Order: sequence, then structure tokens, then C-alpha cells
Amino acid sequence: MNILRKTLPAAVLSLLLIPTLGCAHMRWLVPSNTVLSEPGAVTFDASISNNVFFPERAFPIDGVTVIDPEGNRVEVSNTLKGMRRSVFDIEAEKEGTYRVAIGASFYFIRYKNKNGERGGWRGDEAGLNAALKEAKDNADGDIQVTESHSRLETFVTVGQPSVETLKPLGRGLELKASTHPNDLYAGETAHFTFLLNGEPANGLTVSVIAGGTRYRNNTSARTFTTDKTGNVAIDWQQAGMYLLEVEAEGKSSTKGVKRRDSYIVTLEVLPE
Amino acid sequence: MRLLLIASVLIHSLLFASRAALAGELNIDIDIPQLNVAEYHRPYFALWVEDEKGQNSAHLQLWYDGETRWLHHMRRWWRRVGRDATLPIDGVTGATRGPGGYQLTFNSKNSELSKLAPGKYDLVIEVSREVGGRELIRMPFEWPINNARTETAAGEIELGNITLTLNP
Repeated sequence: MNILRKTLPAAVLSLLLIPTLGCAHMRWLVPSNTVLSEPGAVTFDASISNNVFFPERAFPIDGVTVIDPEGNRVEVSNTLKGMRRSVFDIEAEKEGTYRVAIGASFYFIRYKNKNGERGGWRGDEAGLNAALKEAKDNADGDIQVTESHSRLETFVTVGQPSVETLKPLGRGLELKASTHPNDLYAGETAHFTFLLNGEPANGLTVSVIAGGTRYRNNTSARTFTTDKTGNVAIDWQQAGMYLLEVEAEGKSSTKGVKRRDSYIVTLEVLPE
Repeated sequence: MRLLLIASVLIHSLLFASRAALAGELNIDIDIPQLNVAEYHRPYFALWVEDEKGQNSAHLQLWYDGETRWLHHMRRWWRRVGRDATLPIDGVTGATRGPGGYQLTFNSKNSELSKLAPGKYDLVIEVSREVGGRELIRMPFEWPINNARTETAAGEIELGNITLTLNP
């Protein structure tokens, strides 16, 4: 990536991105059921919206991965890309906890052209060099490049919660759940650790929003900060479906490129 | 060595004696009320004993219609008892019951109650009815039962009067 080294001074790159945490346009993946007392079907909606969990724009589900309690991949069915949401189903046939995730990785380029107009590009790694060349040809001044990795996740349990599928993957920003994500109850405290590339992520802001924001005056988001060991303790005050978001910003392995990791998980808190 | 053997025999017999001495009987009268609703389904009903930490200590009764699909609607039972259990269980599970009065008796010969260590417990009753409500009632007691005592409780909608009679 010599091209970047030449064209993008680090000082410029550090000014690049506005954190999106807590802002509008939340991405989410919400299950119809998180607890089943016998094997059965579960349906999922994925959308991008300002109101949790009311769909506005379909979130692409090309990167969906479903892992069964024994660690095997599960096929999704009935996929639909709707106007406002994407949909897919799974048959949860085994006892234990399923992990359902949509991973997405993109590069963003932003610049201003010689007429002062904003230019930009979003795409995958394969198209990056061509896009950078185009940006270089058109840009007047700084070119901002960001590598973005996001993971939307949720969990579904048939019978007794199991832990096989909770094992951290060791890449990107992710949850290491000391409290099982399908064993959350109002009035209890959950202990979660956030890992960035397998290492505890210190000082990250964790935002927790209860669903149903359409019926409130504001999101009433609660925020928690991870400690040195990447831990947060979340005291669930009310039962409901929650959206938890964490974001980390840092340097890409490509010199001069910023990296943003987002982890977004939908969690159901039950009344006991 | 010999002394150790004697001591261990002595401890064993003491333990055994104290275990065998734990006696008591729980007599539970429950009323499943008649409800004037358009669509009535008999409630799922669970009865169990929790220790002071809220852990299941004795699973005494479960009435359901054989369909496991809705069992988790008895939320507490599901978490504390049901999701660990393999159903049906002889002497515990049975068919759902309609409105009426029922008497249930459990004593120290019951294989679940006989496991109880001395201490404070809650008798927990949970019901959940399809297209209906869910209710949970707790009645504290101490095990073993040394003195006869009667406790009463009442549900709001899904359960009527409950009388717990404790007999030594």
C-alpha cells in the first residue's frame, strides 16, 4: 500500500471519522425467539433504523453465519430482502445455544474534489486500489481511508443454555460473555467482556438501548465503559429486547488507514 | 488406623441418623379457579422447592398437556427447573387439570423431598395458561418440619386460595 503512504499523512487521517455510537441509523438483527423449550423455527429481521426495533432500511444478510450448539454451520432459509428489512429463518433442532451473526467488512474513502464537492467510495478490499486511484485523480487535498468491520449478533437457546458457541473467535471486536446471553433477567447483573482481536478492550463505551424507542421521547440509552480487563457489568432494570453497541477505533494494519470495529448484539432480558 | 475407621463409621452412622430423622409432610390444597373467558385452556402448573439461593431443591409436580412447546412460559420454573429436566418424570409429571380443588401431599418418603438438607426453603407454585396469564406464589417453610403449622396464600387470577399445611 505504497500509494497510501505517499498520499495520506497520518495527521490527516487522525481527523477522519466521527464516531457513530449512539447516533441515528442503528443496525440490528432481531430474533423472533431467544428461548425455546423444544426445537423449532426462529425467524430474524435485519434492518437499519433510527427506532429500535422498527425496520427502515433492509440490512444486507449476505454475510450471515449461523452456528449450532455443536459448532456446525446451519443453513438459513426463506431469505428475503424486503424494502425495510431482510429476513431469514433457521430450524433450531439441537439442544443448546445457537450463535447467529452477520459480519461485514468495508473500506470507505472520502475526499473533496477540485470543485469543493465531496467524493466518496464504499466497497470491499478487492476494489480498494482502483477506488484509491480514482480518488487520487480527483481529490484536491486529503483523502480519508477507513477500514470498517462490523458484527451483528444474537443468540437463541433450545432447552439448557450451552457455551460451545460463545467461545471468542479472536478477531475483530466481540463479546466474551461470563453471563450467558440467553440467561439474562431483570433485576440481575450481567458480566460481559469485550475483546478486540482476542485482547481485552479497555475504555470502550458500551451503549445499551431498550427496544420500543418509538414510544419514548428519547433513546434512554445507558452507557457503560469497559475496564482494563475489558469488562462491564450491566444491571438489567427491566425486561425487554435490548440493543447493545460497542465501537473501537484504531489503526489498520495498512499504514495510514484508520480502522473501525463495531459489535452489535441483540439481547433479550426476561422477567423471572 | 483403627481409630480412624471407628471414627468414620461413627460419622457415617451419625449422618445417616440425622438424615433419616429429617421428617415432615407438606399438604397443599390448591384451587384452580373457573374463569369466564372466551377461550379457555387448562393451565400449565408447576410446584417445586427452592433453597435460599433460589436453586431448585425438589421438583414435586408438573401438570402439562404433553406439549413441551409452551413450557418456558412458566418462566421461573423453566429457568430453575425445567430446562435441566428430562420430561416426563415418573411421579412428578401429569396431565393438566381443569378448574377445581386439588390436594397434593408430599412427605419425606418422596424421593425429591428426602434430598432436602435442613434449612429454609420456599415452596413455589407457578401457573401459566395459553392465551391467559401467568402467576407465581411462594410459601416459606423450614425443613425438617418440627411443628404443625398452616399457611395460606391466594392467587389473583390464575390461582385461587392455597393452603399449605405443614406436619412434622
